[in-house]
Amino acid sequence: MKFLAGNALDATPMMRVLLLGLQLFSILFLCFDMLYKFETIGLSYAAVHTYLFGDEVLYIDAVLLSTLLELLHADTFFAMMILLALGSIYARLCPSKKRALYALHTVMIAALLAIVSLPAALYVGNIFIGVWSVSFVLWHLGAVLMALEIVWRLRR
Amino acid sequence: MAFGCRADGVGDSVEVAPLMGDVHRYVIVYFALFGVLLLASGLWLFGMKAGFGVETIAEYYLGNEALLKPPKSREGLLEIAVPHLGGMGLFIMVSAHFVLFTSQRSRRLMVWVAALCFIGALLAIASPFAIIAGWGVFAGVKLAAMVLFQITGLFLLWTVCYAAVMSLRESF
Repeated sequence: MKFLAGNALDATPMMRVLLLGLQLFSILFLCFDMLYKFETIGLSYAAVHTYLFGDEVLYIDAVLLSTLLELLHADTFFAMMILLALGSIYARLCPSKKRALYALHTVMIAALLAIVSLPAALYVGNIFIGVWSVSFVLWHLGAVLMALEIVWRLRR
Repeated sequence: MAFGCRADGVGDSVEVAPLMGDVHRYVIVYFALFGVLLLASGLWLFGMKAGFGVETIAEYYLGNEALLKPPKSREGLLEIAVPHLGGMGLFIMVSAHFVLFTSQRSRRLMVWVAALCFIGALLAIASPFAIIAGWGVFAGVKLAAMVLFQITGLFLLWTVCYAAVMSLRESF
């Protein structure tokens, strides 16, 4: 962050290459994370409900709480690191502070909601299944768009 | 204490950082919130699996024949330890380095907090290996290290989050 907050971020050729590489990996991570979650959990209400609570008719076991927590623990770490880097770079490159703030708040709040809503669906109510689906897709797509805009602004 | 000031660190040789914008301050606030969730989920996971008693921790790693609980293998512990060695080190460094952006005056305190956080994390990762090697006393060390890591980690996150929020209030 100290380096990202330094001067001449986009003017240094080396920094430009590093940032473009980071965006490439971030976009790939976000896209494949969506694909992975789509395959393992699903994004529809029915699929997420079956993942969390199982299905007696289809003999599908409910997810173990420890398995779910391990998934969320790792997801939290990756989300915080990816969004820290992405948010810091975006803050430097986006010409409109207002737009940068809107994008940042949307993506960060959606990511936080995505993390807490799966356990909330288990303990509070099924409404959080829908919250998870929407917030999960929203923060991934939002982050991909931020990364693409960073790539656009770093072009020469 | 506020953000957007000097990054003079402990010595004088560290270059001066430029002013940070509001967006950066929000990024830091969100980072701290994610950090709290990360610590909470780790604590929840540990409490659910091993419990918060010295006996339950020892039993978790050494197993219990009467309850048909198998002991943890070295490979199993390595699977947990390896990602945590990378992740916890990175988490502490990133969290603590934000202090350099603040006008926090008690640098010595923050250096100690960061060092204790590293020590707590290292002991928490290493002590299960000592437990399965037969040193049961390390069950207590594991618990103490977890507590030390959680408290110092939360303190680091609180310090940077508080500084960012105060700076945002000043800028309004």
